[in-house]
Amino acid sequence: MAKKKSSSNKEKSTAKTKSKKKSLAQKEQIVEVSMAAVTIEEAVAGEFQTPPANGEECILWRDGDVHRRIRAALSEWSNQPLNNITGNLTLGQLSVGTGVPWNEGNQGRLVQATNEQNVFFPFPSRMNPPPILVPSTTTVADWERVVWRMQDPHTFCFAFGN
Amino acid sequence: MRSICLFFAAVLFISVFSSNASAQVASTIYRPGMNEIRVTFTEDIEAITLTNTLLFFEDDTGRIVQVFCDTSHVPDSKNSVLLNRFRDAAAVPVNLAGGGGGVSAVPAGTTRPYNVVLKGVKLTREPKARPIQISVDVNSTTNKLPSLTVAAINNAGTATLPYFNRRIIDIHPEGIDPTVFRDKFQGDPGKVKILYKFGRDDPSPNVETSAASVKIDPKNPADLLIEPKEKLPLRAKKYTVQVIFPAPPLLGTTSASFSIPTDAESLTATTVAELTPPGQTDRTKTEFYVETTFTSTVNAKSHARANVGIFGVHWKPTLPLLTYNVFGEKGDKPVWMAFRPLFEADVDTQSPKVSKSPNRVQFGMDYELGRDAGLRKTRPDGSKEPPAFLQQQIWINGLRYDSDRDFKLQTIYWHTEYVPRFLDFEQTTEERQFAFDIAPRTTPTTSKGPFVSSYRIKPSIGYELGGLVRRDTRATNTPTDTINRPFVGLDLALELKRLVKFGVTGTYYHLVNADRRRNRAYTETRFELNTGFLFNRNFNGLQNAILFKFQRGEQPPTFGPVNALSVGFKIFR
Repeated sequence: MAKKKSSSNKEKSTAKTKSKKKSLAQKEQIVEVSMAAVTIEEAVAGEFQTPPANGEECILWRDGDVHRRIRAALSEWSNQPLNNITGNLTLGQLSVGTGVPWNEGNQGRLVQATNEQNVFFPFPSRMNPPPILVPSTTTVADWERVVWRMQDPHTFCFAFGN
Repeated sequence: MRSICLFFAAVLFISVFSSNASAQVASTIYRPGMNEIRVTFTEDIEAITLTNTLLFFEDDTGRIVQVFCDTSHVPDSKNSVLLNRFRDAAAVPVNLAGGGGGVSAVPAGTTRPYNVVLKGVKLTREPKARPIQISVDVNSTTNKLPSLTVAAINNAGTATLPYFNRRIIDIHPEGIDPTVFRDKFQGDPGKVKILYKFGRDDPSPNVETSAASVKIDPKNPADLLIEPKEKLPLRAKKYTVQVIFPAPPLLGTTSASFSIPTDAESLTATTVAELTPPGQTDRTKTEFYVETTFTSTVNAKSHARANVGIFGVHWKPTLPLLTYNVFGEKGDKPVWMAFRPLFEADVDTQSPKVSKSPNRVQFGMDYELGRDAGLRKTRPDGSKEPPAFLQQQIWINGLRYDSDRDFKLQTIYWHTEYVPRFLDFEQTTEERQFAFDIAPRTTPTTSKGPFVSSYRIKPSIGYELGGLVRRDTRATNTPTDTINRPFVGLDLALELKRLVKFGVTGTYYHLVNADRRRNRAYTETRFELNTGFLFNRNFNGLQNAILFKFQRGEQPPTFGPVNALSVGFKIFR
């Protein structure tokens, strides 16, 4: 089974994981990391550690791990606590925590935060930056769709986007 | 009998009063291997009643059968709950697919919908807890029908993203290997029918077409790519897309535990498409305003006043296809570039000889290169470094055509400008409102928004180099034939209560090759009263304001003296 349950403190494990993910992200710029290597380094309690194998798993992964990591990236980017980030907030609103209004640079920063969270783990896919500036009225829920659509390469679960 | 009646009454009551689950539930999944149901919400769960979850289905005879279960939070997940340990009324364990106790198994090759009612669900930032009813389909353990999932044909929320390929339908088959579809239909893709079914309120007739090709997705070998002969239409309303594969060629090709009935005619993949035309989405970052004013001007020599009308237009869109985020994806500091055409005009109705108001028409194309400070770095102890004071640096280079109202005096020049964006030097209305909404309060406030609803401090420095391409024989005060002028600009704005806005824009020019008075400045001061509450109509996203403005100084291309006080109306976005 692909899922394992956590027994450790989630906050601590997340902090440790972030540093691991950052170092992994840097490595990925230089060399292609094999799936097995990713699985060992990125083992995070409570998250999918092997790629989902069927539609049900894909939906659980999308609405669980991917959703959680995209929200974590938004929290990191906007310097807002995670529980302040809800689906109907807009990127224009959240950018108050970044120091500059929503614009191309701020969008690039959000893409950077999203990729630092390694949102598509255990797949080695990353988010491509949108080729245009999405409107400041884009909601968090819409941004989750944008991230899903910009996955590159397409994961096995691509067809199960909502 | 009484208990059954009570159960029916409870189901009816909760069905009526339970909320619209689709808005809150992201997915409901039954995992046959673990015999559990996972319900995932779009937001985190703040509260939920974990006892007395209702789970029931209607059997073949129309009888309602209740199944009891345990409900618990999923460890490390704030937005999902788990239903498991299913049992019947006599506490005999039940497998939702295989049956057990008083619950029959799902008949082979069929699907049974189970209804779930979760009670006391309160998601983040919801005002109150309420019951939520959802359903989950459980397939039989054997002879399941292969499933065909269509990747979202949906640009809702992403409509501004270009390149949605309407010539591709991405299908993920389960129960039949995608190579089987390719092998069976690649030679004759016309056998695969495709239907676009439009709603009753859509005047368009349904479209029946077929596949032009059937391929394996090179990026994802688990998926099929179907190319329709007639591409997916853009419609204002949602519509249904059906891809119909004839069943006979697929008989006997299913994997274990899947099967296709021998009398089946087709296998169908269905989805709801939502492809709105791009024109119905808002164009981001288009600066636009039109203003018309009644103006009083002063002659600097005679101090005589004159009245005149001034018309101003400013349009600065961002070309969507030419905007790139260049390095944000590689973990570096994000860099972007954009092309921004420019059209500005500020013209009056007087003769240029006596005019003391701005008379300028400007066209141009700017190339913008920006660099962002990137995310705040994390120190070894886990804390964050303070944010950089210089958040963004923007370098603008453009070619501009600048003339007077009558196009008698024409100049062309290269415009280069450096615009730094400092930390919190600008906050928009939506940012300020959000900060107000989430700010912790010790005493309740009756105010709906912040006093300062937006502000901007935007300095810039630049240089312009070019020359006259046509001289105006009527006016003689053009300071130089060549343009060689550094400049410094400052743009300040303050909006109060979303109602009144004060703004000052000042530009200081140094005319390097002028014979005298090399330093010139131009200042525009404005006061805008937002009149959205007076003209409360939908102007397709446009706003309106009553405008008072004062313009003074000298500005290109003529550098003639301007001294004008205006009152007028402004339409902007």
